Amino acid sequence: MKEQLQEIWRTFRRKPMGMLGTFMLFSVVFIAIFAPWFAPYDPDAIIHVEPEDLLAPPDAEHLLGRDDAGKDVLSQLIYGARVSLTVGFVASFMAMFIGTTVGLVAGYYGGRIGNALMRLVDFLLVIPDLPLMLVFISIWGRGLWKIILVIGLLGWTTTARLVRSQVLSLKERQFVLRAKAIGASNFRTIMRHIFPQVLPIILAETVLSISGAIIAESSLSFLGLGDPMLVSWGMMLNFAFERAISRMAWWFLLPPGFAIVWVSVGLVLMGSTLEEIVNPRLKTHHLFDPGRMLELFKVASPGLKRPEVTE
Amino acid sequence: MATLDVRHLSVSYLTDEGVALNAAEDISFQVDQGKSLGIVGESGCGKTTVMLALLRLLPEAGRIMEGQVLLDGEDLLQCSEAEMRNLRWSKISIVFQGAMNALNPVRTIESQIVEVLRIHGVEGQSQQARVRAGELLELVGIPPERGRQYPHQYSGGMRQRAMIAMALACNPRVLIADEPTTALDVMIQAQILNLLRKLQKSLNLALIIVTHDLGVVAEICDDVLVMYSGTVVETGSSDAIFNHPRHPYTERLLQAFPDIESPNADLVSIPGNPPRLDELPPGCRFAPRCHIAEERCHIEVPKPIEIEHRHWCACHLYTGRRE
Amino acid sequence: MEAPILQVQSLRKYFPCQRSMADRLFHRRRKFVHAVDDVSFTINRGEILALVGESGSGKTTIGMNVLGLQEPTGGQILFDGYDVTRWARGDLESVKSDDVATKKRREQILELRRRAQIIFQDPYESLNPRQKVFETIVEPLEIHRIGRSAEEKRERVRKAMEESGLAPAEHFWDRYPDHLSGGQRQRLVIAAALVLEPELLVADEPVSMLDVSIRAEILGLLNELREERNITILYTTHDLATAGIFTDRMAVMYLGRIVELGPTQAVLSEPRHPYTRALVSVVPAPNPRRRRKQVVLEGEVPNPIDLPSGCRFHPRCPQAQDECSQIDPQLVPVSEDHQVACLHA
Repeated sequence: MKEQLQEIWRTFRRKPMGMLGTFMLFSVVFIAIFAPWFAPYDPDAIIHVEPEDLLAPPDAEHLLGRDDAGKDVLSQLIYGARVSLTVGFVASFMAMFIGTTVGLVAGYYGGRIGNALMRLVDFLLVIPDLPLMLVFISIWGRGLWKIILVIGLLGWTTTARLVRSQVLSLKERQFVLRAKAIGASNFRTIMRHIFPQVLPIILAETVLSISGAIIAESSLSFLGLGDPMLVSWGMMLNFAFERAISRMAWWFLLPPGFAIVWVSVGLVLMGSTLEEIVNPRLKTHHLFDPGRMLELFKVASPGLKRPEVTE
Repeated sequence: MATLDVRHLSVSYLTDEGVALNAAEDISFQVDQGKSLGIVGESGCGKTTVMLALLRLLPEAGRIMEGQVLLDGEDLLQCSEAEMRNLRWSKISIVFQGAMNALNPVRTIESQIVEVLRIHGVEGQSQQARVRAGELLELVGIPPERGRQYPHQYSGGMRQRAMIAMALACNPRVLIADEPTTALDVMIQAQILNLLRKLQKSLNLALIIVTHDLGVVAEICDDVLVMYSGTVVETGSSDAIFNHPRHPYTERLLQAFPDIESPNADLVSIPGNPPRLDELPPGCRFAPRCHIAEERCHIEVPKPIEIEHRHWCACHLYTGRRE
Repeated sequence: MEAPILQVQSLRKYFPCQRSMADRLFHRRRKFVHAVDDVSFTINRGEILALVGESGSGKTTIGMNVLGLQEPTGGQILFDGYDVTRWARGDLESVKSDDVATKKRREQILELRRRAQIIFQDPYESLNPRQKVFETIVEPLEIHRIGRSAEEKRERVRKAMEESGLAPAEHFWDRYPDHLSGGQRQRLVIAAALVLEPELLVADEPVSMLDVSIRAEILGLLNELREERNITILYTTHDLATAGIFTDRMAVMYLGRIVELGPTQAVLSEPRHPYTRALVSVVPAPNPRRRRKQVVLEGEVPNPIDLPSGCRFHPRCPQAQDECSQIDPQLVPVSEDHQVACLHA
């Protein structure tokens, strides 16, 4: 498996869009980890503010100005990354884990278990995510772990469907039949023979879903349901909309939104590149390659299709 | 003048890192109108590469390094892409390996043949095109009414016949069939080979059969070209190659072929594998596996020598004779 | 004399056809693919039987049923005297104490899987692309808990690899299948089957996807296994010539039935059934000078859903007569060990 990941990395390295996305994501992760070194101020520190400091525009000491409580926006942004990223990563790993397990079981065993699980998936897919999350949080209450759980427990359905469809076709492959012929148990067959083939796709899907989780958290926080003790980008947007919009304090409004977009785009670039690598039949690369895009606009001429050369 | 005259053709593939891997080196052969040539070699020997090069259909990474491909005197390698598009199918045509599985599943066989006819401007009106399609199907032994069926309603053998019909749509002078019978049952194989033989005679085609199966070549080819690891090791008439092969590889290949009439003969196989394209030996490419290789073989590449009339062999066993 | 290691009795395997909406609406009777239709044969220990036929003949299906990887629709298969179908379910009735039937379900199944193995046709499809060579061969040992230490397991793997010609073992151990050639992959499959020291091996077209120059090696290997270990082999193929090289007896199949059964050399040199004669006549010969009279049958093997009446072969038979469309011939002996299913053999 290690070799497999190395192989993927080697191909990935050569894809400029993917590398750009990786840079975008990891720059934020790096800053988030080393927040105390990057942030000019400690957002929790008690400060003494004058009235004119509230929603003060950017200046030399406060590169992104100050928020409605007089705190430095830049520092909040940097520390906010920690919350948003943590929720994003943990929730989507949780979703991936649940989705993979459900997909493997439903796909491999089929029958009544498979059907029951898929009906559950359908049920969850039909209900809009955000309202459902709102309902849960309203009932449960706010808190970091509650948000993570809510996003994770509702976000596994896409992975489950994806994994199940892969397993359905893998199940019929000859090496799986051979595993049965040598006496492999169902568990072994699933873990040793089926799962490793699905792993690359799950990887790509997970990367993409992290951005979804971050946006979900931001949405919940924006709506005021985030953890009140922690400041995330969504929370910053929440405060900004409530208090800064009338004052046109763009330095408070824009940065968190921009940060969310930055991280999401980075993740999508990474995820799409990974997807393209693990599933070469998805030819989306033209979306990232200006040269190829132009070629699409030229009129295609009739002629022979080139066959694959196997030698 | 031979209809198709290939001279010193060399093809390479460029890897991602820009290294040129030599897939075919110094390939020369001729095919006359009304005759058939069998190109024989194991998988990976470059035979399909050579065919694709002839038609200028190499994938992006393929490069023709040198050589001439003279079709009725005209060098195909000097033609522009537009000129090639005119020549392909109308003068030189190919049934690709596994093509029978690449038929468009949602269109009828007849409509796919009609499309070929229209693309190459053979028949303008659709009524005439349909009639012609029907004629082509009949030519390959498929009742024309069945043209209105879909590929999944055809068996493997019938799909292969349909592909042959498509390849003959524009009355080419040269027809290339790449592994025409692989993956078909032995009885269907016999039917397809009979069909090819019949078509070659009635249409006076210059036929090239590319295969790894010596039996196919023995059945219908007049001449044989044996390839190994991108090079021509021996070429001559079918009779010469099968009954007095000169190259050690050819000999071994023949000995590895099971003969139903002498079942107790010891089957030989050739130990080892052909060299990887990025690890080509400096001398004769077969030397590492050759049972009579000498020191010279590992150092110097043997050039083809004409040992008898129209029987060439690239082996140091015969290089000495020239001098 | 010892009882045959494998006895197939009146084996039937039908696959249900998909029904369309129209079929359901009009309550049409469900149709079946008669993949295997009343096949019987036995194999003695250490024998190699060739099952020869074109696509649709049922030969692969027989292999799958013999190993209990599919369940027959009818008939019985006895491996070492035990009913394979029940064995594959772990459900054998105990006949004597201390026999395999007394074991628990999982152990029973494991014993069957250990003693009877299969090699598939496609060396690219039958291997897990993410498993290294060593892992693929050691896996059966792990499943069956053979080998008490890692060292012992390594030794067994090495031995299996050497016997299948994948030597030096260390050279190949850490490779992935996509770095091996077709012939090497097939050897890997054989090594993984051998490591359990099976008694019965079903080899389903093991060389048809390999180059001709490599086939001899693999077939020679199978023959060696029989010589040295007395392994019984059921070899299915559509290539009569390879069957002719190393098999003892041959069964020719057409549309789910055996049409001729006898010693390989007898069947090849004096085929009694018209189908066998046609097949033998079209096998490519490596000699252009040899002008044989080829019997090239017209048309294709009909689909096994709507079977012809009477003798299944009569629509294509060059010697068919009136009664052939009425009567379905049974396998009848024409000499001591040679049987033919034809009214005019």
